[in-house]
Amino acid sequence: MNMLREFFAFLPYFCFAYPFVMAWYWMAGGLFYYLWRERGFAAPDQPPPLAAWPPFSILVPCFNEAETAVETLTTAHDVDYPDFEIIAINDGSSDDTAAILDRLAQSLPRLRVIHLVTNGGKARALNVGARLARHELLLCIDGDALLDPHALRWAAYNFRRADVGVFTGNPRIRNRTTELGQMQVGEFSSIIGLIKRAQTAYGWMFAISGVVAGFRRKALQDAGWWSSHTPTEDVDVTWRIQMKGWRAVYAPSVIVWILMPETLMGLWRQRLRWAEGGAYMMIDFGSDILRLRSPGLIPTYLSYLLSVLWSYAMLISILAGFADVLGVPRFGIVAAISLIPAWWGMVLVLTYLLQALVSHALDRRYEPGMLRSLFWVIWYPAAFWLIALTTTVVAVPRVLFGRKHTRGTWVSPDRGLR
Amino acid sequence: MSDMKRNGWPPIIANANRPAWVIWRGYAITVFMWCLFFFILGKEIELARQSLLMLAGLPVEPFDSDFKRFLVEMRPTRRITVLLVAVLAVATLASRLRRIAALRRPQPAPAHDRELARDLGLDEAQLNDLRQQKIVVLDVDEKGRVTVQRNGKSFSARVDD
Repeated sequence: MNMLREFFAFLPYFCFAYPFVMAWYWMAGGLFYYLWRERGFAAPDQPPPLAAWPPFSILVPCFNEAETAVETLTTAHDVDYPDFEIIAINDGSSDDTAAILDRLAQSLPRLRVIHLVTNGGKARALNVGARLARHELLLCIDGDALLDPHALRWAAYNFRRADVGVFTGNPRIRNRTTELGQMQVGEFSSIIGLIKRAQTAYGWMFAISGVVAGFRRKALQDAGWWSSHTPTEDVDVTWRIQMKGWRAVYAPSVIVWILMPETLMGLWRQRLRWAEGGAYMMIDFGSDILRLRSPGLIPTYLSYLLSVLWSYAMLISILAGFADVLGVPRFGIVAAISLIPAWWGMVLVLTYLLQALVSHALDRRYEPGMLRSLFWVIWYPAAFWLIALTTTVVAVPRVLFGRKHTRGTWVSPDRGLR
Repeated sequence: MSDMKRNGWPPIIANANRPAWVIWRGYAITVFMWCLFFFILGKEIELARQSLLMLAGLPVEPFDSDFKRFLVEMRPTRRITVLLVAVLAVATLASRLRRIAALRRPQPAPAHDRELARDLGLDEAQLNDLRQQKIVVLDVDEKGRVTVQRNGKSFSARVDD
């Protein structure tokens, strides 16, 4: 009973300590990366010249992309690069995507189109497209993403390293009409961008961003290609590529402009899918981690595990706090937890605000006016921590005990207000 | 930063199809959130201000603060943070050395077409033929093998589930 009492007394401390430690870790990692790499980068629209530019294949898997295909493919076609092709893979779309792609193929010389008769999911579409690509170096983007004109030159720059099997680019958010859109701008910088910098500095990455990622085809082959088993094939392929000895790095100058959900339901669905992907990774690679197949990935795995534990700890703590407020009798072993954060909360929120400031400062070279997004970051501790912990709490048991993910389960995403 | 902005780029969408009062509502709610933050933590902010004044040797009224106790409770967290950041610094150095070594190595051999074709249930000649086509229509089975439906002709029919 004493052990249980101590466990529950430790919970609020863990709820504070985990995000505090990780925030400082990510800030340090972001700054290390900046000092080591980014500080010496040329401006994003002035990629350094190379002696030779290797050819690329841009893969664009499409499912019901009638609204966005024209814009995405014509923008990709306008990329400033000497030798590349674009392959649009129509994964059994039920709207006018097929007809639109056929028309575009006549007007865009670099575009090739692959129609898959039946819908089989993004992973399968990419697997077919990657093998039918003419070139070894691949850049994969989503069917509603707009590629920066200089993206391929920076992609080539990152593949100069012989050990890089995959890099993740820098998705910037296009739609920021609502508060949700604005919050995600801050989130992508202060969390995702900073984490990827820290992970690249450390040497191993948790996940690439599937919306913009470059692959060496040999690395994909070694890893066994994309898997249809998981709802987030980008997380899965990142781990398998790294476990085969290839490196995954962050390439912040490979920029793509994306559409994100601007409704709560759309955001919830997206983040639940991401959380399920993390849970699948935890299960699929747990035995590999225990067998020390790739020791460098152990801290990355443990970090994710801690984030899952933190989500459940926060849930228990919040419920206990509400119980106190409502006067509901609690078990004697559950420590009293105040919903008013006091010193702990103040230090944590101030730490996050500092994290946001650091990350926005690092990111401002990729997006003019980036620092204006700092106005919205106050939402992050209140909104996104809650979304993150609730989706994790829901996702883990769903994956452990629920239905298995099957291929062919594309869902048209919420693309915000346009 | 050089001149990144040009006509229509970056393609940011702001204030699409929204009335002005909705936009201002968003700003107002966010200002409220900032005010709420300072209100909730007002006591701690005031105590922190008094602590800083005391540290600076400036006169301050006596106050009761549990900030010192909080700092003591926080000590293990601070130590873990410092330790992890130190490990990360060493790992960053290792990453840097690894990158330098990788830049000196020749590019790895590409994936072989024979294996790529075999994965799709094709031979190399068929694979290269498909790669020359502008438009191909494929049926893919459970093992990822493809059957070419129509080769080189436009496909505009709707695909029903």
